[in-house]
Amino acid sequence: MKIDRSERIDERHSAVRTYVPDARFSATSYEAIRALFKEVWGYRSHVANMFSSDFRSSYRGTMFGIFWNFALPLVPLTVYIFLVNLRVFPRHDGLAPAIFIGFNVTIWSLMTGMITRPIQVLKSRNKESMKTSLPISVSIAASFGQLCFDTLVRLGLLVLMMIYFAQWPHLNIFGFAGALLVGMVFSLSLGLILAVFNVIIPDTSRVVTILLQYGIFMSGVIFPLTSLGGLVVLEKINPFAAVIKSSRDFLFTGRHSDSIVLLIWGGIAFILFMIAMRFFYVMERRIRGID
Amino acid sequence: MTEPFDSELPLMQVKSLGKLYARKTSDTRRRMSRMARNAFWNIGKPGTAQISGSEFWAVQDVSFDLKRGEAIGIIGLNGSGKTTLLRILAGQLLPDQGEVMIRGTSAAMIDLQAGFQPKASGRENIYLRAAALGFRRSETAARVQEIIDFSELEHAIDAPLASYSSGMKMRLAFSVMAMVAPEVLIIDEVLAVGDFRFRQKSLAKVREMRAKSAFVFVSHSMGDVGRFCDRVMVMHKGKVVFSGEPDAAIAYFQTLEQNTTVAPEKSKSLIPAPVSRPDMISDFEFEWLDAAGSEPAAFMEGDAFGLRVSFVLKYTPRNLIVGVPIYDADGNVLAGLATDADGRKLEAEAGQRVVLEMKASDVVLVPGQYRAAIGITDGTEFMFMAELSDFLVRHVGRKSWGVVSIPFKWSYSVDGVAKNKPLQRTVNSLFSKRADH
Repeated sequence: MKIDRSERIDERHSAVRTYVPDARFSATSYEAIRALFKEVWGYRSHVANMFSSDFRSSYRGTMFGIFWNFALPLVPLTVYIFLVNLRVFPRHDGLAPAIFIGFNVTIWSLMTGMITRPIQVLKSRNKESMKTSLPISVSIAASFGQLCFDTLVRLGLLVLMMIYFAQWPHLNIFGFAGALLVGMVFSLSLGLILAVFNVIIPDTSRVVTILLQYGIFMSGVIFPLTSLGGLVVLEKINPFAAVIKSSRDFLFTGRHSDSIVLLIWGGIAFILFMIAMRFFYVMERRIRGID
Repeated sequence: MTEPFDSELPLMQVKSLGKLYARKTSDTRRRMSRMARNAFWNIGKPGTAQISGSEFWAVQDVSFDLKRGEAIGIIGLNGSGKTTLLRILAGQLLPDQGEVMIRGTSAAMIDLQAGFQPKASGRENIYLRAAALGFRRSETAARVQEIIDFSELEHAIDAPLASYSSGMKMRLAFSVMAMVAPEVLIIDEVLAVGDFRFRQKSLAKVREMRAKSAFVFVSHSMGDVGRFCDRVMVMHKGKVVFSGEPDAAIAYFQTLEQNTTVAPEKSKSLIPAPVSRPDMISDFEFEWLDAAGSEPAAFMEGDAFGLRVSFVLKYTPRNLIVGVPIYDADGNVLAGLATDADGRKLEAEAGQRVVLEMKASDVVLVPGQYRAAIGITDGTEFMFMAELSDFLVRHVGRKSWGVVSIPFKWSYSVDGVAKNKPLQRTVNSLFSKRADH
């Protein structure tokens, strides 16, 4: 019996494994997505344990303990709410400023977190991963656990603010979930690609940091882009702005005036996702151990 | 182009394996950039690796098969590519040439720290390691007590791993591996960690696993390699330079070791920095001496050896001491040969040339390369400190293990005095003594 070489897509627990220089190169995007999800699922105990270990270590030794894990995610949000209430930034008509900012910062943090966390994980755990058989995708998945927790904490505060301001949503669940999905898929794809490039060109993470610092003001997070005059076009060409506006509209008004823009970004996110997952899958073993 | 694998039996098949490394990071990044471009646009494949810039083959053209029940040893000098080869076999690194095929489950013990979560407890780490080896939580839970018992870490199992010594980590890692019993086990030197008793217990467990598993075993202990492996490969500069019976491979390795200079950066780091004070000592000279009183190219194991030093004192020391520390290839101090070892005091005055000769009756070091230094002090104050030239000890035909080569001879009889006259101590007395401790 001969072994079919098409089986070379590495699956840790398969009966026959082959390590060759061109391993994974022949994988299609669908195979890569399937393999990555299977990989993360196979190591779900590790994901859970790494998340809980990171979660506990972030407050270990402090006087207020777990309180910090709830307080710190709210800091950026409360700072921006404070500044808007001081009228440092223009206000948005229709929604209470605290809710406007609270929602936008939550979605912004979620999207940027999905870009920056893969970069950070690959940078900090790449050397260690060379010494183990633990896939880097597992470490990235574990880091998303913390991101999910931070997002839930922010959403919790948002709900409290909505009750306080009696600002009830008119939720379009499909529209809201769709917009959020587009944002998350787009960000994850970009994050995975940039994480690999950051190992090869270490300047990447610095450029990303600078762009995101400016990006928050160009994405309608703190104030509406309509207040920027000619730059209102960013609502269409900036995916962050498009996703934040769409998801906000779907949550608070139940409809969205510019669904075509969201659909276009949805298409781009899908294509990017297909490219990114295969790219990451092929490169993951190659970049291991590079400082 | 390599030929297709048979599916017949070997648990591991390695064919023409190669791995490229670069001395300069820029060359590594250049290669990765090329690969990333191809991967991103889905064009081309890595193809045959070509060396460019500072790249070199860390592992080149390694081939072997490993069947169930077999153990293959890999020995070689530091930097010969052993660990890189193991990492490829363990799937931690991809090769740049050739291929590895593994049938069944495999596990690697290459780096004790790797894969452990230092902040998690020993117990949690058992679950993590087992999960990495493909075991469900419920499956691990069924064996966790057995693992804890084997590791003998009952009292420390719920403490954070960061508080463990390296020996304790090794015990934990080995216990998980032993209980999950992978079909291919890759072990790098780690069994050298830990106390003697646990090491013996581990080796016994490994022997027990041999019927079902295959082993790739890297060790600097020639005794372990010789006893445990069926075949041994000697690696040198990334290539397999010898492959065969353990005894022949070990002899080949020892010859290789004798003819290779010690990697200076490792051993030098433990040798004290040089001290030179021309106002105190000048005109320092030295030579190694063999049994005939002349400087040899190498000492022979078991022969007499000596050292002659000469220097001019520029001032009168109150307590002149000359010492010669001897280091092994890893920079560990093996012996200190000092003039005040027997309480003797050297008397000398400023302007005098001091000539000292040290004679040792036997070279009790095992064959290999050694380093030595000389320190001349006035009490505790250093007047002069320098590294002497390396020296080589060649073997004289008999096997050696460990660090020292004690002159010995075994005699035996099959119907001797022991039959009629019981010896002083019994096995039982040894075990009862251990239990008392």
